[in-house]
Amino acid sequence: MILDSPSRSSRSAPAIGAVRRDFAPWKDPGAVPLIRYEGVRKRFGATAAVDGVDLSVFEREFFCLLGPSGCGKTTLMRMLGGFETPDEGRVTLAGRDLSGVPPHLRPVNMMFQSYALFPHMTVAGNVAFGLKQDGLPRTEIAARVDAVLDTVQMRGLADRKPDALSGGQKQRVALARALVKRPKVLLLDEPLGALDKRLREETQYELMDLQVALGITFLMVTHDQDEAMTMADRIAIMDEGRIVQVGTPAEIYEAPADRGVAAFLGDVTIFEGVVQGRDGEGWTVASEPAGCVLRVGEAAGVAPGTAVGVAIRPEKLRIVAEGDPAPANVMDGEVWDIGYLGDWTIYRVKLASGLIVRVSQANAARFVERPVGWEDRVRIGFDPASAVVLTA
Amino acid sequence: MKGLSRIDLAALTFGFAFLYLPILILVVYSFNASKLVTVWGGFSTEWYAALFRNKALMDAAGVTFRVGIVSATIATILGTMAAVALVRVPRFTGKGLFTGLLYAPIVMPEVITGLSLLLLFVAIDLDRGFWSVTIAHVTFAMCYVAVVVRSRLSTFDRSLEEAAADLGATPLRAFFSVTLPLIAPAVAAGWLLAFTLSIDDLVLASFTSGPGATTLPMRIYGQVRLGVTPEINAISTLMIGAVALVVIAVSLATRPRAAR
Amino acid sequence: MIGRDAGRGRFLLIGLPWLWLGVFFLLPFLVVLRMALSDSAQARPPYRPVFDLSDGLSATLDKIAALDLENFRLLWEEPLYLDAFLTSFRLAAATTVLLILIGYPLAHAMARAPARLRPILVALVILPFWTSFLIRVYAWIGILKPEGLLNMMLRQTGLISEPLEILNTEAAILIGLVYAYLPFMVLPLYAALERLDATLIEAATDLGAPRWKAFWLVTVPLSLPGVLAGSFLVFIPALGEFVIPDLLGGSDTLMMGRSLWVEFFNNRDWPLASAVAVVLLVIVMGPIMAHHAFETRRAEAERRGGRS
Repeated sequence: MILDSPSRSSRSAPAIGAVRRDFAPWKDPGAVPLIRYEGVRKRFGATAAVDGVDLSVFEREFFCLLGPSGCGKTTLMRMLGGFETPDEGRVTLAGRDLSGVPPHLRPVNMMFQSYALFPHMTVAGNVAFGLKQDGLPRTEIAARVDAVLDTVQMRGLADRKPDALSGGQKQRVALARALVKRPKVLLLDEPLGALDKRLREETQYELMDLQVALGITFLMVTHDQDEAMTMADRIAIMDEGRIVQVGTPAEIYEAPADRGVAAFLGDVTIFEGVVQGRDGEGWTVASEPAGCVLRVGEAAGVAPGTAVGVAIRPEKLRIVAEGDPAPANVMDGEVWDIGYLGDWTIYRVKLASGLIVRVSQANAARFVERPVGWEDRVRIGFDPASAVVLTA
Repeated sequence: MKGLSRIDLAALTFGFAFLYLPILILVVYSFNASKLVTVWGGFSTEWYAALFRNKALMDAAGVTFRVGIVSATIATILGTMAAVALVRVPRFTGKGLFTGLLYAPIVMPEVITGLSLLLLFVAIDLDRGFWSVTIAHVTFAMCYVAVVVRSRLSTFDRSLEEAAADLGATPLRAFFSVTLPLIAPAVAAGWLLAFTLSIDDLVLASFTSGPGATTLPMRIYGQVRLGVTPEINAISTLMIGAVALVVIAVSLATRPRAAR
Repeated sequence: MIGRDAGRGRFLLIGLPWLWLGVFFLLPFLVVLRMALSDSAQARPPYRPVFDLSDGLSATLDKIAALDLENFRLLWEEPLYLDAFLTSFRLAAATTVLLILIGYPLAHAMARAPARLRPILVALVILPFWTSFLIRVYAWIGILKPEGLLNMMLRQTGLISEPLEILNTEAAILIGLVYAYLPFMVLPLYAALERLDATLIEAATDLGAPRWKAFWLVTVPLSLPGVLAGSFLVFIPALGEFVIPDLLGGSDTLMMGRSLWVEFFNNRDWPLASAVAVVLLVIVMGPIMAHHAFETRRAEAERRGGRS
């Protein structure tokens, strides 16, 4: 996770975790979006792949479409490339309606999930392909190909055929091929999906640096939440053809719009309950699974009697040791499972109601004697500001 | 996947019309009451009746059927063995030549194969008749069987055989109890291919057959040279119908397995 | 013990098909070669052998020195045979080219059809192959002859007033060859085109190539192995084709396969027929070996590709 100390954040001003300082055109009412989806729909047979999407992406933004497979994110992106035509609505790029513009005339380039490298051409031939289509002079093509291959550190393998490259090398060539035409938007379809874990993490940061350096707008599709959280300026969460929430990674993680988003991104425990009344700046919620009345922070759209879910992330819960000052909300339970992950230890605590709550603790010191063991009775607790009140 | 373009549809229409119209015309005119091929004289099955009264033709059909069954069976055994040898034995003396020999008869002009086999039979003094034709067909068809079985074997998960060996089966046991049942559809397809190649063959049979072993294609060829007759149309229709039935039955029978 | 059994099993496994092909495919070529060097004679069988097993080594050597190659000289000197060779070559080449032109769009459309339709389309291409070759060629006689269906239709639509002479011309042979060999061209083409990753075309258009150019720069080069495989499968047998020129080409058009047949069955000149066979064999040997090398390489590449 990219967040340092999110529990101290104020939920009314969630401007946290922005990758680039002061880069937030979506907050500027005067900013004109580069890409605009307006009421876009697309059906494949009986299923609606894209079901009424409105979305704006700004210039120089690293925007990510995130969702489970089949949620319509790839279809939405391919509409910008020109590979799918919306049944309804329109897609504009820099104010220009793209309807009827064939893929080869669109100023966007795509990095395909399979990389789609031409097997009968060398690395240099693949990268030069797009420039040749534009009829550029031979010397300029050669210079630009060399330059972009330098950027992705593939110049030494310029004469290889794709079959003779490793997965990581193919990925770099595919990236170079899409970038060499200096597109207005680079589309990335699961760009790191085929790489192993370590290479993937390394490449994530390289791609981010590259995006900032080139100043090109990136639109990425992925099903990997860590990837989206790490790389994107903003994320759109999609489900069943609709956009459920758009926001910065921190907004989406810390202020999920509904139970679905909360559960999709990271781990969460949701205490179902009913709002009882005001409690200073926040509310009290009577929760049967929690076995107590929970104090939570400010929440919009609730009144006494509203059924709500109180969502709490494992890292914001803690085990309250004997003699520690107790937080506002405490519950009693029994340690059910302990998972040691190196950087974190996960405790699964079973409450009296039978609900199992995940609590995680950072292992800041080496080989600390664990304060609790299996089947120990423990108290767990959290601060009112750490919880999210979900009405949907 | 995008839909088919207009060019694609035109190509499909033209291609399949080209492939099927001549056969269709032939079938339609087999029911023509008129003896003139271009004049439609009304629907009739008289040519089919005439067919069954034609003893020479019926005898030839019998010979063809027997040669087909015997040669397809031997060709399937030999072709399957050859395919297994090619895929499962990494290297053996003369593997290159062996592979070449297996592929050559498929493209080799039939007149060469036919003539050379006949001259061999004359040289070794083998009586020409049922067996000489059968041997010729085996030689030709086993290569097709080998190709069909080989392509199935090469996509076959070798670890299944290794699992059988791990559980104590001898290589032979492993082959018969694990490999063969799984490649059975390909072996069956190979047999069927060998059978149709045999009952279809004119050139090899003409060279290698002798008195009393005239096959149906040889009879048909003899009559065709004299011109188009509704009777030939009728027997052609019967042969096409039989093949179509068998192919459809086989594809229906193997469909669940093919749709993995 | 087990090892020796397995060894014996392997010996049988390889040995039996090897032996069969050796005796009934390889050995006969030597017999043909011997026959081609013999002289024709009024006898049963109608030839005088040059070599005999009863000859000693020196007698055999003497005979080799005295070989006159009379049959081959005849083939070379008699314009009839040279013509037959040229006609065969021309028609086989024209057939191959026509089949690429007809088969490519068909295979391309098949490969782009919805996935659930594709097996049916493939079956439809194969099905005619399962029906009798002889009958399929015969069907064209009724269509092409002067009072046949084609002429009847053309006359009824008023396109022609006199029937076209198509049957018993090279055009008829060409039609027959193209018709009979279409599946052999379409299937390898289809295999190559179906395997082709559709996103490669998308990538090409994404990079600025219009559809036709993406087809030319990506689809065509990547399907060349299929084109080559199909061409081998068509060109080699077409060179020695007998049934089609015999039934559709009439007595005027001579192709090598038909020359061989005529020498053997009509003129009963076994040595000359054998000489034709030897020449034809030498001619097709090059393409067959090229085809074999090509297929081996392709299978090898596929095996490697499948592993990675």
